[in-house]
Amino acid sequence: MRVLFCVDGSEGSDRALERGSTWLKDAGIQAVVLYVSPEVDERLRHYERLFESELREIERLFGDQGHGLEVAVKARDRLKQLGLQAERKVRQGDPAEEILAEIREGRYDLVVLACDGTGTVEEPRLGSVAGQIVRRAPTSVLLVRAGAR
Amino acid sequence: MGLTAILAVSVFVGTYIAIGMEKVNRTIVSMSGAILLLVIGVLSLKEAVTTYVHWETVGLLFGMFTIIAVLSEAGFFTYMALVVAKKLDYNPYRIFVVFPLVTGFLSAFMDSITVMLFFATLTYELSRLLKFDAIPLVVTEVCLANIGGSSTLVGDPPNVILGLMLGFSFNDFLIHNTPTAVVAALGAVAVAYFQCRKRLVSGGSIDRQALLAMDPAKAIKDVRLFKLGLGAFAVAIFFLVIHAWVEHNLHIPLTAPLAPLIPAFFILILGGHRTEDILRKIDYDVLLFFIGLFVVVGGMEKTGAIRSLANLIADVFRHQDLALVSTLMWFSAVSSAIIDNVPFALSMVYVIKGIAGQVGVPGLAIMVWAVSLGTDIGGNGTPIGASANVVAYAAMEKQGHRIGWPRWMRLAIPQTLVALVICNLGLAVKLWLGFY
Repeated sequence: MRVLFCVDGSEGSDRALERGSTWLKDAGIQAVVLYVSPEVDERLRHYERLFESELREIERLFGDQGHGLEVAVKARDRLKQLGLQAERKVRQGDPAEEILAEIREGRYDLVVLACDGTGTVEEPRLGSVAGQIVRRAPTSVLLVRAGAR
Repeated sequence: MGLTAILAVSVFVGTYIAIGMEKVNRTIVSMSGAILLLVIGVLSLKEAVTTYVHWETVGLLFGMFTIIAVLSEAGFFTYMALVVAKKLDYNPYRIFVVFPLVTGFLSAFMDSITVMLFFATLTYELSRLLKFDAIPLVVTEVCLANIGGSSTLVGDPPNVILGLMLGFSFNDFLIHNTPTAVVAALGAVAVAYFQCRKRLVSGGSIDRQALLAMDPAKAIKDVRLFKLGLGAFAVAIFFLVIHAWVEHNLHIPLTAPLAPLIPAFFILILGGHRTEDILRKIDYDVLLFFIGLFVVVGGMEKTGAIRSLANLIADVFRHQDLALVSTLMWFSAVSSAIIDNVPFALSMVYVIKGIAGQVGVPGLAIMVWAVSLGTDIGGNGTPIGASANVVAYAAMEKQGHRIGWPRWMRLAIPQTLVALVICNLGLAVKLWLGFY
Protein backbone atom coordinates (compact mmCIF):
# COMPACT_ATOMS: atom_id res chain seq x y z
CA MET A 1 0.00 0.00 0.00
CA ARG A 2 1.44 3.39 -1.01
CA VAL A 3 0.78 6.18 1.54
CA LEU A 4 1.42 9.88 1.07
CA PHE A 5 2.10 11.93 4.23
CA CYS A 6 1.61 15.66 3.56
CA VAL A 7 3.73 17.89 5.83
CA ASP A 8 4.15 21.64 6.18
CA GLY A 9 6.23 21.96 9.36
CA SER A 10 3.23 22.96 11.49
CA GLU A 11 2.18 21.34 14.78
CA GLY A 12 -0.87 19.91 13.03
CA SER A 13 1.16 18.21 10.32
CA ASP A 14 3.59 16.77 12.93
CA ARG A 15 0.58 15.32 14.75
CA ALA A 16 -0.83 13.85 11.52
CA LEU A 17 2.54 12.26 10.78
CA GLU A 18 2.78 10.67 14.23
CA ARG A 19 -0.84 9.47 14.45
CA GLY A 20 -0.84 8.16 10.89
CA SER A 21 2.44 6.26 11.26
CA THR A 22 1.32 4.76 14.60
CA TRP A 23 -1.85 3.45 13.00
CA LEU A 24 -0.21 2.24 9.79
CA LYS A 25 3.22 0.97 10.83
CA ASP A 26 2.22 -2.70 10.86
CA ALA A 27 0.41 -2.50 7.52
CA GLY A 28 3.59 -2.92 5.45
CA ILE A 29 3.23 0.43 3.70
CA GLN A 30 5.47 2.28 1.26
CA ALA A 31 5.56 5.83 2.67
CA VAL A 32 6.35 9.12 0.94
CA VAL A 33 6.51 12.50 2.73
CA LEU A 34 5.61 15.53 0.64
CA TYR A 35 6.22 19.21 1.33
CA VAL A 36 4.70 21.79 -1.00
CA SER A 37 6.57 25.05 -1.03
CA PRO A 38 4.13 27.93 -1.66
CA GLU A 39 4.41 29.94 -4.85
CA VAL A 40 6.74 32.86 -4.42
CA ASP A 41 5.31 36.36 -4.85
CA GLU A 42 6.19 37.83 -8.24
CA ARG A 43 7.96 40.86 -6.74
CA LEU A 44 10.09 38.67 -4.43
CA ARG A 45 10.96 36.43 -7.38
CA HIS A 46 12.11 39.51 -9.29
CA TYR A 47 14.45 40.62 -6.49
CA GLU A 48 15.63 37.05 -5.87
CA ARG A 49 16.66 36.88 -9.51
CA LEU A 50 18.58 40.16 -9.18
CA PHE A 51 20.44 39.06 -6.03
CA GLU A 52 20.39 35.28 -6.54
CA SER A 53 24.08 34.60 -5.85
CA GLU A 54 24.15 36.75 -2.69
CA LEU A 55 21.06 35.05 -1.24
CA ARG A 56 22.49 31.62 -2.01
CA GLU A 57 25.71 32.72 -0.31
CA ILE A 58 23.75 33.58 2.86
CA GLU A 59 22.12 30.12 2.84
CA ARG A 60 25.53 28.51 2.37
CA LEU A 61 27.04 30.58 5.19
CA PHE A 62 24.27 29.54 7.57
CA GLY A 63 24.20 25.90 6.38
CA ASP A 64 20.59 26.25 5.30
CA GLN A 65 19.30 23.57 2.91
CA GLY A 66 16.12 25.50 2.20
CA HIS A 67 12.97 25.35 4.28
CA GLY A 68 11.07 22.80 2.16
CA LEU A 69 13.85 20.28 2.10
CA GLU A 70 14.46 20.79 5.82
CA VAL A 71 10.81 20.06 6.70
CA ALA A 72 10.70 17.03 4.40
CA VAL A 73 13.97 15.61 5.76
CA LYS A 74 12.81 16.16 9.35
CA ALA A 75 9.52 14.38 8.61
CA ARG A 76 11.30 11.45 6.92
CA ASP A 77 13.67 11.10 9.91
CA ARG A 78 10.72 11.19 12.31
CA LEU A 79 9.01 8.40 10.36
CA LYS A 80 12.22 6.37 10.56
CA GLN A 81 12.24 6.80 14.36
CA LEU A 82 8.64 5.60 14.38
CA GLY A 83 9.62 2.50 12.43
CA LEU A 84 8.77 3.44 8.84
CA GLN A 85 11.11 3.86 5.90
CA ALA A 86 10.04 6.77 3.70
CA GLU A 87 11.03 8.68 0.61
CA ARG A 88 10.87 12.53 0.67
CA LYS A 89 9.55 14.85 -2.02
CA VAL A 90 9.34 18.64 -2.40
CA ARG A 91 7.09 20.36 -4.93
CA GLN A 92 6.40 24.05 -5.53
CA GLY A 93 3.06 25.70 -6.28
CA ASP A 94 -0.48 25.80 -4.95
CA PRO A 95 -0.52 23.27 -2.04
CA ALA A 96 -3.87 21.60 -2.91
CA GLU A 97 -3.12 21.38 -6.64
CA GLU A 98 0.38 19.99 -6.06
CA ILE A 99 -0.83 17.37 -3.56
CA LEU A 100 -3.53 16.29 -6.02
CA ALA A 101 -0.96 16.11 -8.83
CA GLU A 102 1.34 13.99 -6.64
CA ILE A 103 -1.56 11.65 -5.76
CA ARG A 104 -2.32 11.16 -9.46
CA GLU A 105 1.32 10.69 -10.50
CA GLY A 106 2.32 8.46 -7.56
CA ARG A 107 -0.78 6.21 -7.58
CA TYR A 108 -1.21 6.34 -3.81
CA ASP A 109 -3.74 4.25 -1.90
CA LEU A 110 -4.03 6.64 1.04
CA VAL A 111 -3.23 10.27 1.84
CA VAL A 112 -2.56 11.38 5.43
CA LEU A 113 -2.84 15.05 6.29
CA ALA A 114 -3.76 17.42 9.07
CA CYS A 115 -7.14 19.09 9.28
CA ASP A 116 -7.16 22.40 11.12
CA GLY A 117 -10.94 22.73 11.40
CA THR A 118 -12.93 22.41 14.64
CA GLY A 119 -16.39 21.54 13.34
CA THR A 120 -18.58 18.50 14.00
CA VAL A 121 -18.27 15.11 12.30
CA GLU A 122 -21.34 15.83 10.19
CA GLU A 123 -20.12 19.23 9.17
CA PRO A 124 -16.37 19.16 9.35
CA ARG A 125 -14.85 22.63 9.09
CA LEU A 126 -11.79 21.76 7.10
CA GLY A 127 -8.80 23.86 6.27
CA SER A 128 -8.93 25.00 2.65
CA VAL A 129 -6.24 22.53 1.53
CA ALA A 130 -7.74 19.57 3.43
CA GLY A 131 -11.19 20.47 2.11
CA GLN A 132 -10.04 20.40 -1.49
CA ILE A 133 -8.16 17.12 -1.07
CA VAL A 134 -11.21 15.44 0.52
CA ARG A 135 -13.45 16.65 -2.30
CA ARG A 136 -11.14 16.00 -5.23
CA ALA A 137 -8.66 13.22 -4.38
CA PRO A 138 -9.17 9.98 -6.36
CA THR A 139 -8.10 7.99 -3.30
CA SER A 140 -8.87 7.53 0.41
CA VAL A 141 -7.91 10.38 2.74
CA LEU A 142 -7.04 10.11 6.43
CA LEU A 143 -7.56 13.43 8.23
CA VAL A 144 -5.98 13.96 11.64
CA ARG A 145 -7.74 16.68 13.55
CA ALA A 146 -6.28 19.19 16.01
CA GLY A 147 -6.57 17.86 19.55
CA ALA A 148 -7.14 14.28 18.32
CA ARG A 149 -6.20 11.59 20.85
CA MET B 1 -14.76 68.17 -19.44
CA GLY B 2 -13.63 67.53 -23.02
CA LEU B 3 -13.06 64.13 -24.60
CA THR B 4 -9.26 64.37 -24.13
CA ALA B 5 -9.70 65.08 -20.42
CA ILE B 6 -12.13 62.16 -20.02
CA LEU B 7 -9.68 59.83 -21.78
CA ALA B 8 -6.74 61.03 -19.66
CA VAL B 9 -8.71 60.61 -16.42
CA SER B 10 -9.89 57.13 -17.53
CA VAL B 11 -6.34 56.00 -18.31
CA PHE B 12 -5.12 57.43 -14.99
CA VAL B 13 -7.87 55.70 -12.94
CA GLY B 14 -7.50 52.44 -14.90
CA THR B 15 -3.73 52.41 -14.39
CA TYR B 16 -4.02 53.04 -10.64
CA ILE B 17 -6.68 50.34 -10.23
CA ALA B 18 -4.59 47.84 -12.22
CA ILE B 19 -1.49 48.64 -10.13
CA GLY B 20 -3.53 48.19 -6.94
CA MET B 21 -4.96 44.84 -8.07
CA GLU B 22 -1.45 43.46 -8.72
CA LYS B 23 -2.72 40.95 -11.30
CA VAL B 24 -0.31 42.26 -13.92
CA ASN B 25 3.28 43.43 -13.35
CA ARG B 26 3.11 47.12 -12.33
CA THR B 27 5.81 48.15 -14.83
CA ILE B 28 3.77 46.69 -17.68
CA VAL B 29 0.67 48.50 -16.35
CA SER B 30 2.33 51.91 -16.09
CA MET B 31 4.06 51.63 -19.49
CA SER B 32 0.79 50.47 -21.11
CA GLY B 33 -1.01 53.49 -19.61
CA ALA B 34 1.70 55.80 -20.93
CA ILE B 35 1.63 54.29 -24.43
CA LEU B 36 -2.17 54.49 -24.49
CA LEU B 37 -2.03 58.21 -23.72
CA LEU B 38 0.42 58.70 -26.60
CA VAL B 39 -1.69 56.61 -29.00
CA ILE B 40 -4.93 58.48 -28.25
CA GLY B 41 -3.12 61.79 -28.55
CA VAL B 42 -3.49 63.17 -25.02
CA LEU B 43 0.25 63.78 -25.03
CA SER B 44 2.83 63.83 -27.80
CA LEU B 45 5.98 61.71 -27.41
CA LYS B 46 8.12 64.85 -27.31
CA GLU B 47 5.91 66.42 -24.65
CA ALA B 48 5.91 63.22 -22.57
CA VAL B 49 9.69 62.80 -22.73
CA THR B 50 10.73 66.43 -22.32
CA THR B 51 8.01 67.83 -20.05
CA TYR B 52 6.54 65.08 -17.94
CA VAL B 53 9.16 62.36 -17.44
CA HIS B 54 11.27 63.65 -14.56
CA TRP B 55 14.72 62.51 -15.62
CA GLU B 56 16.38 63.87 -12.48
CA THR B 57 14.42 61.31 -10.42
CA VAL B 58 15.28 58.49 -12.82
CA GLY B 59 18.97 59.53 -12.80
CA LEU B 60 19.21 59.71 -9.02
CA LEU B 61 17.56 56.31 -8.61
CA PHE B 62 19.86 54.78 -11.26
CA GLY B 63 22.93 56.14 -9.44
CA MET B 64 21.79 54.87 -6.03
CA PHE B 65 20.77 51.47 -7.47
CA THR B 66 24.24 51.06 -9.02
CA ILE B 67 26.02 51.78 -5.73
CA ILE B 68 23.69 49.41 -3.83
CA ALA B 69 24.26 46.72 -6.48
CA VAL B 70 28.02 47.02 -5.89
CA LEU B 71 27.60 46.82 -2.12
CA SER B 72 25.33 43.77 -2.29
CA GLU B 73 27.59 42.06 -4.85
CA ALA B 74 30.49 42.56 -2.43
CA GLY B 75 28.54 41.02 0.49
CA PHE B 76 27.99 44.26 2.43
CA PHE B 77 24.54 43.45 3.89
CA THR B 78 25.51 40.02 5.23
CA TYR B 79 28.73 41.42 6.66
CA MET B 80 26.86 44.28 8.34
CA ALA B 81 24.23 41.98 9.91
CA LEU B 82 26.82 39.50 11.17
CA VAL B 83 29.05 42.21 12.66
CA VAL B 84 26.06 43.75 14.47
CA ALA B 85 24.80 40.35 15.72
CA LYS B 86 28.28 39.45 17.00
CA LYS B 87 28.67 42.83 18.74
CA LEU B 88 25.32 42.15 20.44
CA ASP B 89 26.66 38.77 21.62
CA TYR B 90 23.86 37.07 19.63
CA ASN B 91 21.38 38.13 22.32
CA PRO B 92 17.86 37.94 20.76
CA TYR B 93 16.54 40.80 22.92
CA ARG B 94 19.36 43.13 21.90
CA ILE B 95 19.00 42.01 18.28
CA PHE B 96 15.28 42.80 18.46
CA VAL B 97 16.04 46.43 19.36
CA VAL B 98 19.17 47.04 17.28
CA PHE B 99 18.41 45.23 13.98
CA PRO B 100 15.36 47.42 13.23
CA LEU B 101 17.43 50.52 14.01
CA VAL B 102 20.08 49.25 11.56
CA THR B 103 17.49 48.66 8.82
CA GLY B 104 16.09 52.14 9.55
CA PHE B 105 19.55 53.70 9.27
CA LEU B 106 20.45 51.83 6.07
CA SER B 107 17.07 52.60 4.49
CA ALA B 108 17.64 56.30 5.11
CA PHE B 109 20.29 56.16 2.39
CA MET B 110 19.56 53.00 0.40
CA ASP B 111 16.66 51.36 -1.33
CA SER B 112 14.58 49.82 1.48
CA ILE B 113 13.50 46.88 -0.72
CA THR B 114 17.08 45.66 -1.09
CA VAL B 115 17.77 46.30 2.60
CA MET B 116 14.71 44.24 3.59
CA LEU B 117 15.35 41.43 1.08
CA PHE B 118 18.68 40.80 2.79
CA PHE B 119 17.65 41.54 6.37
CA ALA B 120 14.50 39.37 6.23
CA THR B 121 16.64 36.46 4.97
CA LEU B 122 19.42 37.10 7.50
CA THR B 123 16.94 37.51 10.37
CA TYR B 124 15.32 34.19 9.46
CA GLU B 125 18.72 32.46 9.40
CA LEU B 126 19.70 33.96 12.77
CA SER B 127 16.33 33.00 14.25
CA ARG B 128 16.96 29.35 13.27
CA LEU B 129 20.23 29.35 15.17
CA LEU B 130 19.15 31.50 18.13
CA LYS B 131 15.67 29.93 18.44
CA PHE B 132 13.62 33.11 18.43
CA ASP B 133 10.44 34.04 16.60
CA ALA B 134 11.57 35.86 13.44
CA ILE B 135 8.16 37.30 12.51
CA PRO B 136 7.87 40.17 15.06
CA LEU B 137 11.45 41.17 14.33
CA VAL B 138 11.00 41.17 10.54
CA VAL B 139 7.78 43.21 10.80
CA THR B 140 9.55 45.73 13.08
CA GLU B 141 12.51 45.87 10.69
CA VAL B 142 10.14 46.67 7.81
CA CYS B 143 8.39 49.39 9.86
CA LEU B 144 11.71 50.96 10.78
CA ALA B 145 12.98 50.66 7.18
CA ASN B 146 9.97 52.68 6.03
CA ILE B 147 10.34 55.21 8.86
CA GLY B 148 14.07 55.49 8.14
CA GLY B 149 13.27 55.94 4.47
CA SER B 150 11.16 58.99 5.30
CA SER B 151 14.11 60.78 6.87
CA THR B 152 16.13 61.73 3.78
CA LEU B 153 15.71 62.71 0.14
CA VAL B 154 17.12 59.39 -1.08
CA GLY B 155 15.54 57.15 1.56
CA ASP B 156 12.33 56.28 -0.23
CA PRO B 157 11.17 56.77 -3.85
CA PRO B 158 8.24 59.04 -2.76
CA ASN B 159 10.80 61.38 -1.17
CA VAL B 160 12.90 61.43 -4.34
CA ILE B 161 9.77 62.36 -6.30
CA LEU B 162 8.55 64.99 -3.81
CA GLY B 163 11.98 66.48 -3.23
CA LEU B 164 13.28 66.68 -6.77
CA MET B 165 10.01 67.65 -8.47
CA LEU B 166 9.25 70.36 -5.92
CA GLY B 167 12.83 71.62 -5.48
CA PHE B 168 13.84 70.42 -2.00
CA SER B 169 17.42 69.36 -1.34
CA PHE B 170 18.99 66.52 0.64
CA ASN B 171 19.81 68.99 3.42
CA ASP B 172 16.20 70.28 3.55
CA PHE B 173 15.08 66.72 4.31
CA LEU B 174 17.97 66.30 6.77
CA ILE B 175 16.97 69.43 8.69
CA HIS B 176 13.20 69.00 8.60
CA ASN B 177 12.32 65.30 8.26
CA THR B 178 15.26 63.51 9.91
CA PRO B 179 14.69 64.70 13.53
CA THR B 180 10.98 63.82 13.35
CA ALA B 181 11.74 60.43 11.76
CA VAL B 182 14.39 59.60 14.38
CA VAL B 183 11.95 60.25 17.27
CA ALA B 184 9.22 58.31 15.42
CA ALA B 185 11.65 55.38 14.90
CA LEU B 186 12.57 55.26 18.59
CA GLY B 187 8.87 55.38 19.52
CA ALA B 188 8.06 52.52 17.12
CA VAL B 189 10.89 50.30 18.41
CA ALA B 190 9.82 50.92 22.01
CA VAL B 191 6.23 49.92 21.19
CA ALA B 192 7.38 46.79 19.34
CA TYR B 193 9.71 45.76 22.17
CA PHE B 194 7.06 46.08 24.87
CA GLN B 195 4.51 44.33 22.66
CA CYS B 196 6.72 41.32 21.80
CA ARG B 197 9.36 40.92 24.53
CA LYS B 198 7.53 38.16 26.43
CA ARG B 199 6.99 35.90 23.41
CA LEU B 200 10.23 36.55 21.57
CA VAL B 201 12.36 33.53 22.50
CA SER B 202 10.79 30.22 21.58
CA GLY B 203 13.20 28.01 23.56
CA GLY B 204 15.29 25.06 22.45
CA SER B 205 19.03 24.50 22.46
CA ILE B 206 21.15 27.10 20.71
CA ASP B 207 23.90 25.89 18.40
CA ARG B 208 26.76 27.92 19.94
CA GLN B 209 29.36 26.14 17.81
CA ALA B 210 27.70 27.26 14.61
CA LEU B 211 27.58 30.80 15.95
CA LEU B 212 31.25 30.82 16.95
CA ALA B 213 32.20 29.46 13.54
CA MET B 214 30.43 32.39 11.92
CA ASP B 215 33.09 34.85 10.79
CA PRO B 216 31.65 38.13 9.44
CA ALA B 217 34.74 38.60 7.26
CA LYS B 218 33.74 35.46 5.31
CA ALA B 219 30.66 37.32 4.11
CA ILE B 220 32.80 39.72 2.07
CA LYS B 221 33.01 38.20 -1.40
CA ASP B 222 35.33 40.77 -2.96
CA VAL B 223 37.36 43.07 -0.71
CA ARG B 224 38.25 45.49 -3.53
CA LEU B 225 34.63 45.81 -4.61
CA PHE B 226 33.57 46.19 -0.97
CA LYS B 227 35.95 49.14 -0.50
CA LEU B 228 34.95 50.64 -3.84
CA GLY B 229 31.25 50.37 -2.96
CA LEU B 230 31.67 51.93 0.47
CA GLY B 231 33.85 54.69 -1.00
CA ALA B 232 31.28 55.44 -3.71
CA PHE B 233 28.50 55.46 -1.14
CA ALA B 234 30.40 57.92 1.10
CA VAL B 235 31.15 60.18 -1.88
CA ALA B 236 27.49 60.11 -3.00
CA ILE B 237 26.29 61.15 0.48
CA PHE B 238 29.01 63.85 0.68
CA PHE B 239 27.96 65.22 -2.75
CA LEU B 240 24.30 65.15 -1.72
CA VAL B 241 25.12 67.21 1.39
CA ILE B 242 27.23 69.82 -0.44
CA HIS B 243 25.51 69.91 -3.86
CA ALA B 244 23.18 72.86 -3.14
CA TRP B 245 26.06 74.91 -1.71
CA VAL B 246 28.33 74.04 -4.67
CA GLU B 247 25.64 74.95 -7.18
CA HIS B 248 24.81 78.21 -5.44
CA ASN B 249 28.27 79.44 -4.49
CA LEU B 250 30.62 77.88 -7.01
CA HIS B 251 28.12 77.77 -9.91
CA ILE B 252 29.14 74.19 -10.69
CA PRO B 253 26.05 72.18 -11.74
CA LEU B 254 26.50 69.41 -9.17
CA THR B 255 22.80 68.55 -9.07
CA ALA B 256 21.25 65.98 -6.69
CA PRO B 257 21.06 63.25 -9.40
CA LEU B 258 24.73 63.78 -10.26
CA ALA B 259 25.70 63.19 -6.62
CA PRO B 260 25.25 59.39 -6.83
CA LEU B 261 25.70 59.18 -10.63
CA ILE B 262 29.33 60.43 -10.56
CA PRO B 263 30.61 57.83 -8.03
CA ALA B 264 28.37 55.17 -9.62
CA PHE B 265 29.96 55.58 -13.05
CA PHE B 266 33.37 55.79 -11.43
CA ILE B 267 32.95 52.32 -9.90
CA LEU B 268 31.47 50.95 -13.13
CA ILE B 269 34.66 52.04 -14.89
CA LEU B 270 36.85 50.56 -12.13
CA GLY B 271 34.69 47.44 -11.71
CA GLY B 272 36.60 45.50 -14.39
CA HIS B 273 35.09 42.10 -15.13
CA ARG B 274 32.46 42.61 -12.37
CA THR B 275 30.85 45.57 -14.20
CA GLU B 276 28.47 43.35 -16.16
CA ASP B 277 27.34 41.54 -12.98
CA ILE B 278 26.74 44.91 -11.33
CA LEU B 279 24.72 46.24 -14.28
CA ARG B 280 22.58 43.07 -14.24
CA LYS B 281 21.61 43.77 -10.60
CA ILE B 282 20.16 47.21 -11.30
CA ASP B 283 16.38 47.27 -11.00
CA TYR B 284 15.47 48.57 -14.47
CA ASP B 285 11.84 47.50 -13.92
CA VAL B 286 11.42 50.17 -11.26
CA LEU B 287 12.96 52.82 -13.51
CA LEU B 288 10.55 51.92 -16.34
CA PHE B 289 7.66 51.87 -13.86
CA PHE B 290 8.55 55.45 -12.86
CA ILE B 291 8.86 56.60 -16.49
CA GLY B 292 5.42 55.19 -17.35
CA LEU B 293 3.86 56.74 -14.27
CA PHE B 294 5.33 60.16 -14.98
CA VAL B 295 3.56 60.10 -18.36
CA VAL B 296 0.23 58.81 -16.95
CA VAL B 297 0.15 61.45 -14.20
CA GLY B 298 1.40 64.05 -16.70
CA GLY B 299 -1.63 63.36 -18.91
CA MET B 300 -3.90 63.89 -15.92
CA GLU B 301 -2.09 67.13 -14.98
CA LYS B 302 -2.47 68.45 -18.53
CA THR B 303 -6.26 68.13 -18.35
CA GLY B 304 -6.44 70.36 -15.25
CA ALA B 305 -8.28 67.71 -13.19
CA ILE B 306 -5.61 67.73 -10.46
CA ARG B 307 -5.75 71.55 -10.25
CA SER B 308 -9.50 71.38 -9.63
CA LEU B 309 -8.91 68.94 -6.77
CA ALA B 310 -6.21 71.21 -5.32
CA ASN B 311 -8.55 74.23 -5.48
CA LEU B 312 -11.24 72.27 -3.69
CA ILE B 313 -8.88 71.21 -0.87
CA ALA B 314 -7.59 74.79 -0.50
CA ASP B 315 -11.18 76.10 -0.25
CA VAL B 316 -12.09 73.61 2.49
CA PHE B 317 -8.96 74.22 4.60
CA ARG B 318 -8.36 77.95 4.02
CA HIS B 319 -6.79 79.55 7.15
CA GLN B 320 -6.74 76.18 8.95
CA ASP B 321 -3.07 75.31 8.55
CA LEU B 322 -2.80 72.59 11.19
CA ALA B 323 -5.98 70.87 9.99
CA LEU B 324 -4.73 70.92 6.40
CA VAL B 325 -1.24 69.62 7.26
CA SER B 326 -2.61 66.91 9.60
CA THR B 327 -5.22 65.84 7.03
CA LEU B 328 -2.57 65.63 4.31
CA MET B 329 -0.36 63.46 6.53
CA TRP B 330 -3.11 61.07 7.70
CA PHE B 331 -4.71 60.88 4.25
CA SER B 332 -1.31 60.03 2.75
CA ALA B 333 -0.74 57.43 5.48
CA VAL B 334 -4.08 55.65 4.99
CA SER B 335 -3.85 55.81 1.19
CA SER B 336 -0.29 54.40 1.21
CA ALA B 337 -1.37 51.45 3.33
CA ILE B 338 -3.85 50.53 0.58
CA ILE B 339 -2.24 51.60 -2.70
CA ASP B 340 1.33 51.73 -4.00
CA ASN B 341 3.01 54.77 -2.48
CA VAL B 342 4.95 55.76 -5.62
CA PRO B 343 1.94 56.64 -7.84
CA PHE B 344 0.28 58.20 -4.80
CA ALA B 345 3.26 60.49 -4.09
CA LEU B 346 3.49 61.44 -7.74
CA SER B 347 -0.16 62.57 -7.81
CA MET B 348 0.30 64.43 -4.52
CA VAL B 349 3.18 66.44 -6.03
CA TYR B 350 0.70 68.14 -8.37
CA VAL B 351 -2.01 68.38 -5.69
CA ILE B 352 0.13 70.16 -3.07
CA LYS B 353 1.76 72.32 -5.73
CA GLY B 354 -1.75 73.43 -6.69
CA ILE B 355 -2.73 74.06 -3.07
CA ALA B 356 0.45 76.04 -2.36
CA GLY B 357 -0.44 78.56 -5.06
CA GLN B 358 -3.59 79.62 -3.18
CA VAL B 359 -4.16 82.35 -0.61
CA GLY B 360 -4.63 81.39 3.07
CA VAL B 361 -2.76 78.09 3.01
CA PRO B 362 0.62 77.22 4.59
CA GLY B 363 3.85 77.12 2.57
CA LEU B 364 4.66 74.27 0.20
CA ALA B 365 7.47 72.95 2.42
CA ILE B 366 5.33 71.90 5.41
CA MET B 367 2.95 70.11 3.03
CA VAL B 368 5.91 68.25 1.50
CA TRP B 369 7.03 67.07 4.97
CA ALA B 370 3.47 66.01 5.83
CA VAL B 371 2.94 64.03 2.62
CA SER B 372 6.43 62.51 2.79
CA LEU B 373 6.07 61.31 6.41
CA GLY B 374 2.51 60.07 5.85
CA THR B 375 3.27 58.29 2.58
CA ASP B 376 6.46 56.58 3.75
CA ILE B 377 5.28 55.55 7.22
CA GLY B 378 1.61 54.80 6.47
CA GLY B 379 2.70 52.00 4.17
CA ASN B 380 3.70 49.99 7.27
CA GLY B 381 0.10 49.17 8.12
CA THR B 382 -0.46 46.26 5.72
CA PRO B 383 1.75 43.65 4.04
CA ILE B 384 1.19 45.38 0.68
CA GLY B 385 1.63 48.99 1.85
CA ALA B 386 5.16 49.28 0.43
CA SER B 387 7.37 47.13 -1.79
CA ALA B 388 9.69 46.44 1.16
CA ASN B 389 6.70 44.96 3.05
CA VAL B 390 5.74 42.74 0.11
CA VAL B 391 9.28 41.41 -0.28
CA ALA B 392 9.82 40.75 3.46
CA TYR B 393 6.37 39.15 3.84
CA ALA B 394 6.92 36.86 0.85
CA ALA B 395 10.47 36.02 1.93
CA MET B 396 9.19 34.86 5.33
CA GLU B 397 6.36 32.91 3.71
CA LYS B 398 8.86 31.17 1.49
CA GLN B 399 10.75 30.04 4.59
CA GLY B 400 7.58 28.50 6.00
CA HIS B 401 6.74 31.42 8.34
CA ARG B 402 3.23 32.36 7.26
CA ILE B 403 2.58 35.76 8.82
CA GLY B 404 -0.94 36.46 7.53
CA TRP B 405 -2.61 39.87 7.34
CA PRO B 406 -4.11 39.80 10.88
CA ARG B 407 -0.76 39.12 12.57
CA TRP B 408 1.06 41.66 10.40
CA MET B 409 -1.52 44.31 11.28
CA ARG B 410 -1.49 43.44 15.01
CA LEU B 411 2.27 43.92 15.03
CA ALA B 412 2.64 46.85 12.63
CA ILE B 413 -0.34 49.08 13.35
CA PRO B 414 0.57 50.02 16.97
CA GLN B 415 4.10 50.98 15.86
CA THR B 416 2.76 52.86 12.86
CA LEU B 417 0.18 54.78 14.89
CA VAL B 418 2.76 55.84 17.48
CA ALA B 419 5.16 56.91 14.72
CA LEU B 420 2.43 58.88 12.92
CA VAL B 421 1.25 60.60 16.11
CA ILE B 422 4.86 61.64 16.79
CA CYS B 423 5.14 62.94 13.21
CA ASN B 424 1.88 64.85 13.54
CA LEU B 425 3.14 66.47 16.77
CA GLY B 426 6.42 67.30 15.04
CA LEU B 427 4.55 68.97 12.17
CA ALA B 428 2.38 70.92 14.64
CA VAL B 429 5.50 72.19 16.43
CA LYS B 430 7.04 73.20 13.10
CA LEU B 431 3.91 75.11 12.16
CA TRP B 432 3.80 76.79 15.56
CA LEU B 433 7.46 77.82 15.29
CA GLY B 434 7.10 78.74 11.62
CA PHE B 435 10.17 76.53 10.99
CA TYR B 436 9.63 74.62 7.78
